[in-house]
This record gives sequence, C-alpha cells and structure tokens, in this order.
Amino acid sequence: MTMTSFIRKNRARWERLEALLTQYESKAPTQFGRETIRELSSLYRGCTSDLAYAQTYYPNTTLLQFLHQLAGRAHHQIYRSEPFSLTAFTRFFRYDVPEAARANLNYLALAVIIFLTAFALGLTAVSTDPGVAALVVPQPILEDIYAGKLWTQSLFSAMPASVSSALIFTNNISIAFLCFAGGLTCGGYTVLLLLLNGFILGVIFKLCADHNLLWPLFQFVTGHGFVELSVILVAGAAGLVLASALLSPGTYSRLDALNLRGKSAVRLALGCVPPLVAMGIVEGFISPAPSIPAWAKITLGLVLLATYWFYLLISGQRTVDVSRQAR
Amino acid sequence: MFGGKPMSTLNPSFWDDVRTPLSTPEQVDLQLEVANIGSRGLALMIDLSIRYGVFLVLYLLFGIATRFHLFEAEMTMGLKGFALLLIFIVFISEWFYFALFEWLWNGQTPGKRLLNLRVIKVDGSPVGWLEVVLRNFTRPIDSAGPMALVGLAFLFFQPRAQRPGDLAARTIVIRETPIDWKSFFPESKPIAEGQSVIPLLPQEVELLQRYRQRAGALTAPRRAELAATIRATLQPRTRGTYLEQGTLADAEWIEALAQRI
Repeated sequence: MTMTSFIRKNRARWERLEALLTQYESKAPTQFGRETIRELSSLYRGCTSDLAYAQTYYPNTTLLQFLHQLAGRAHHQIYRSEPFSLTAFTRFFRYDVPEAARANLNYLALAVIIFLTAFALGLTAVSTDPGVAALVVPQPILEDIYAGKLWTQSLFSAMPASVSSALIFTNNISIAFLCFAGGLTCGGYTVLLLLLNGFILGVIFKLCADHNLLWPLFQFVTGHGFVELSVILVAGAAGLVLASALLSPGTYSRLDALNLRGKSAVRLALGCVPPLVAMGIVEGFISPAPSIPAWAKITLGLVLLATYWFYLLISGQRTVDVSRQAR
Repeated sequence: MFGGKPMSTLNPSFWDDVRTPLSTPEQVDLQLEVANIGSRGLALMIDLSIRYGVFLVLYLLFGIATRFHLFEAEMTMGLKGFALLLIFIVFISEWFYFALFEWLWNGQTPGKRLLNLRVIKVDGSPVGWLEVVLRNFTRPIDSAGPMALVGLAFLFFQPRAQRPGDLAARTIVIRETPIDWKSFFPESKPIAEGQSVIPLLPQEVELLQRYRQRAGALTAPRRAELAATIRATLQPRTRGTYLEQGTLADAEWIEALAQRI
C-alpha cells in the first residue's frame, strides 16, 4: 500500500480517536457511556496496529511521529491510575500508614536512638560548658531563661493563638517532610536534623533545670510535646527508610529498592500531617493557656500519646479480604 | 541533550532529541520524546514565577493591611484571617504546588502545560498520587535553591534525564508535540473521478508534508524559494499529467500535486 492511500484509508479513525481523547483528558472516565469507552479501546488497538505497520513500511515520516503521539496519548487514557476516592483516602490513613510504621520498626528504633543520643549530648554539653547554649539557642530565648522566666510567655502573647498554631504546625510539617527528603542524601540530612533537634532539646532542658524552670517547662510541653516528638521520630524513620534503599538495598538493585521503600517512606511522611496539625492546635490554644490546670494538660498529653502509638502499632490490621480489595 | 542516539532527521526541536522506547501490552514500541534541561528549566522557572508572584501580591496586601492597624493592640478578625490565609498559602504552595497540579492535571503543572511537558511513569502509564508525592517532596534536595545543581547534573548525565526524585518515583518527563492535523495530508476523501494517482515514494510524500507544515511560518520569499526547489525535485515524477506543463505558480503547483497523490 502506498503511504498516501494508507493515510486516506485510516485518517478518519485517527481523527475520531483524537477527538475522543480530547474529551477524555478533561473529564473523569465515569462520565462516559459504555459505548464510547468500547469505541476508545477499539480505536486505540486500531491505532497501535497502524503504528506497527507504519514502523515497518514508512520509517522516518511525519505520519509515524503522529501515530506515536496519538497512541501515546491513548495509552495514557486507557492505562489510567486509580482516581481519588474517599475510600482510597480513608484506606490510606486507616491501613497504609500504620502498616508502613509496623513494617519499619527497626528504622523507627534507630531514629529514637539517634535522637536520644543527641539529647544526652545536649545535657552533658551544657553541664560542662554553659556557653554551648549560645551556639544553638536563639538569643531572646536565652535571655528569658537567664532572667528566670519561660520564653513561651513572651512568644505567645505576641500573636493570636490561631496564628501561632498555624505557624507551629506548618513549620513542624516542613521539618517532617525535610526529614523524609533528607533520606535521598543517604540519610545524612535526616540524621543531622534529628541530631540537631535532640541536641537543642537537651540543652534547653538542662538550662531550664539550672534556672528552676523545669516544672513550668514540663507544664507547657506536656500537652503536645510527647506526640510532636513521636511524629518527628516517625518522619526521621521515613528518611532512614529511604536512605536504607541507597545504603543497603539487599537483593534488589538500588533503584528498585528506592522505589519500593520510597513508597513506604512516603506513607510514613504523609501520615505525619494530621497528628502535627492536631498538635499545632493544642500547642497554640491549650499549652500556653494559664487558665487550664497542669493536671489537665498532663492527662491530655498522655491520652494523646497513647492514642497515637495505639494507632501506629495496633490499629488498622487488615484482614485477608481487605488487602485483596486494596490492590 | 545529545547523549546516545544520533539526532533524528525528523525531530521538530533541536534540543529534545532523546527518545525513549516504551513497550505496550499491544506489542508496539511507542517512542516518546524525553524532555531535557532547556524545557524543564523553563517550566520550573514559570512555575516558580507563578508561586512567588502570588506570594508577593499577598505579602504586599498584608503589609498594607498591617500598616493601618499597626497601633491597635489586638489583631482584628479580618487581619487574623488574612494572616492565616497567608501562612496556609505559603505552606501549601511550598510543599504541594507541584504535587497537587501533577496529580490533578495528569502529570502537568502550569509551566509544564505551557511547554507541552508531562510526567509519566517509566512504564508509560499516568502518574498516581504516590509517584507525584515521591518525586516532588524530594525537591528540597534536588531542585530547590543551590541543590538545583544536583538535579541539573542528573538532567545532564542521566540517559533519561531523571533527577533523584524521578528515579525514586520511577517517573520520566516527556515532551508532547501537539499534532497538527490541518497541514497533514492527504485528506480522507478519495481522489477525484477521472484523475490518475501520481505515485510518490514515502520520502517524497514526506518532503511535501514537511513543506506544508512549515509553509505558514516562513516569509514569502523564503517560501517561494523552497517551493521552487521542491518543484524542481518532484517535476520528473509528474510525467504524463497536466502538472508536467508549467502553467501554475510553484506553491499552487505543490497544492495541486498534494491532491493527486
């Protein structure tokens, strides 16, 4: 067949396919009837066979280029990924996140060890030389502590609780996501973030202890602090999981391991968002409020801590049937 | 990028010449054009301009708003709401701008759409939310600020121009040239009654095809020059038809020929 008669014969089908694709690209597939979907798939198959023919007989032509693009676009529409649905969303937080946490408990433990080591280092560093504090703690906070009052009072009186809690949780989520992304630096950046945060916490605890502020500090952090720290450790674990794919891929190639464990790490990282939003609200509204008694804050903190770890370690165990549906 | 394969004669663009084969379940190899540094950098710049443009406007508005409430002890409700809005918009655009657009627009952001780029999985299927989050949350370490040098190096040396985030998510960025059906010929209607078909080789048809695609964008003298060259090349093929005589102008002669093949 000459190229021109090939085009004359099939062109109408290609144009129809393109018209259908233009519709498909802007709407969800559920908005189309069964007939159009069938038509699309048969036009697509026709297009790929035309493409195969053209590849053999008309190499290096505009025709071939057009057919490649047309088949490529149709391929995108036919082999679509799962669209967003509420079921997929709830499934993610109910099953996928805790499952990813339970599958990576060793990395979580490693994150805890790194953090605690840095915390202990911070404590001892300030005991030996109080000057260390000036290196890692901002000046205004240091001045408040030396003056014998908690910096949170001046910080939280400066702006409304809603604004401060929004600032707190967006900042914390950013840190959590950075912990995750740092995994791609072979974990270097993740470990650095964990060390720095642990170290600063150690320094501040020691400073507050030295200036008789331990009880006010405890009162302030107890409501949100336990869960907030846990979540940052989970985010650190997410980064370490990503790093492990690069450092010890096991029987997989590094790229395969990165893809496989990356998915697990993404689940851990995204799972950090809701608890951090909640803790931001607690930290903005409840923790600095002088009217709420200490025992209430402590109870709240412990209940939240227990809930969070129950969620990660115990809840969301799939039965066999659910996991079948999931994929 | 000029890695690996020789530059295809067909390629409409000069810099995006790396193609990646993709096997479909229908046993046909699709050739897709891998987007390279030039177009991806430009798309990134467009996206960043949009993001920071929005920040700038909001920031100025916020500045003006606070200026007039500067001496009030309490923030008003409106100002408080505005501050919250600002915080959320900055945060969401910081982490979710790329991810949300690529997820909702099937692998495109505004910048990518302008440059006809699209993110797809390495196996050719569209990206899902997991890939999109994985490839975009890793931006701080491969395409933000000074770390962009890392991404740049990968775009240069990785054969399919995948940055670390792309490698982790198994995605590639491809360039889709829109199909120009108007200049593509022949039409689907058969040749008019009583006229014979002038047989041309595929390369000769291709010559006409490319001339017709470019003709609209050329200046008149240049178009006439090209038409004359093409006519000189194809004239011998029209022996025995009315096209052999030289009554028509070059451009019209080519159109008449296009109707007969």
